[in-house]
Amino acid sequence: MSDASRIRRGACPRCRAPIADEANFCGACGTAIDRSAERWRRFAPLLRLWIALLGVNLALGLAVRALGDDARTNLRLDVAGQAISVAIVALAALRERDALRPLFQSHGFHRATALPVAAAAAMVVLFVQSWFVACELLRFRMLRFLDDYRDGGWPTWSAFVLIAVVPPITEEVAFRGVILEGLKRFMRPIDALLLQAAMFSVLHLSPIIFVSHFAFGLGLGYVRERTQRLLPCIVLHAAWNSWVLVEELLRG
Amino acid sequence: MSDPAACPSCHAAIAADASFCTHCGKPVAVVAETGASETPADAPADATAVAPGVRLAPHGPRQRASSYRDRLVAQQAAQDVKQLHTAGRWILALVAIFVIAGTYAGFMHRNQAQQVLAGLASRDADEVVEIEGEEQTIAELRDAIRAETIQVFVVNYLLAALFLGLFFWSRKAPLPATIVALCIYLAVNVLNAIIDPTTLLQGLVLKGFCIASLAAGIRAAVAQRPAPRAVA
Repeated sequence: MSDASRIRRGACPRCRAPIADEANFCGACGTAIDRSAERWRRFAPLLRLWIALLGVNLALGLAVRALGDDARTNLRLDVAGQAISVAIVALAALRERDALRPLFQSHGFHRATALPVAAAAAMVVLFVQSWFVACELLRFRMLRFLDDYRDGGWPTWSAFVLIAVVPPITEEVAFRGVILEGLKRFMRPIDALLLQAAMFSVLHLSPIIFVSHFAFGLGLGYVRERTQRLLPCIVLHAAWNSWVLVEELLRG
Repeated sequence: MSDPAACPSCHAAIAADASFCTHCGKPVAVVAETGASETPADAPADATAVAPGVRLAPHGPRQRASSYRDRLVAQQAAQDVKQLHTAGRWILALVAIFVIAGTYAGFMHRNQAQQVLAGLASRDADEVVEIEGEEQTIAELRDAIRAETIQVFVVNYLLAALFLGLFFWSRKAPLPATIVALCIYLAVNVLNAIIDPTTLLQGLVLKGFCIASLAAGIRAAVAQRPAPRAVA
């Protein structure tokens, strides 16, 4: 390892020389060090987080099928599902708090960063909007979020809270925070960026929006990498979700 | 440990006083200090390789233990490669599954659609009907039924194309490609289960093998045991 500070108390099984945290070989005698179990122990929680979120979606979907006779029940189930997701992500974030802490700290405003970030955000939003228009033209049935709120008698602001505030925070902490940060330890940053975007889009459980949400996840990942912060990602995500709701309101 | 230096073989950053690169395992100390390509003094002179890069020291209890450990690591590395290949083959198998199942489902859907369209043939095109709480004219309904058939083909073939892309990606970057393949496969099954819960129990053995193989592939890719390299 390049940094002496990363040397742990671990010792080479052959010569007892201290070995670095992620060394494949002992620096003193060249003996191969098997790190597989340790690497898996650090990697598995990332996969478990995604599978747990998928499990919540499955349970929610099945519960809506079984119990969701009316809009009010659907909304209650949705709130329960979101609460479980928030708890799962919070636990994962707590586990990775040391790695995530810098992502919540302010680094000030940099014009050199702001311009490419704004350009990337604009491109992504344009692409996603175009994709949705194309889907509508191809007669794919698009999800309407506000119908249940209207039918269930819930106020419109609750839709904004449950669609444009809570999920962006949860998803950004999970995907651009815990998952992206964790994946970067195991693969090239570009692969980690692609992978978190794929995991993000697949979790939305709709083959139609896979492409658009993959691009969206990629854009948010880029923003996170450029700014080294989660807040711009949360703001961009929340702005997009709000726009979807506003568009639905305008259409009536 | 002293200031970091770079391995002359793989250019990974290593401690300046290291005799071997901690990343690729090649002897480096003498090269780094004198510029001469000599093997470090503590490296076994007559080391033999069980697998490229895994050195075996031939005598002494400590050396014998090390030799056993190195051989074990080499065997595990070979097992990892095998599991990665199996995961790759399962990704390819998923391409075939989605093409075959998508074609079958598409034609089944088309036959059902034709029956429904035949039933609607006698109805007036401007007549309004209510479907799942939405009012539609018969003409709109006919268009929607025709579009749904195309959508079944499109979605399944897109998924097959996606898995084909993942198969090629898995040859370059096995870890991310295998994870994406597993995620997509799980998500498709979850989506199907939400639409029709009975599908959750269909083809359990095939699903089990597929998920287990992809998960084993991920585990093998994560393990990244020491890359076998020949000692010069």
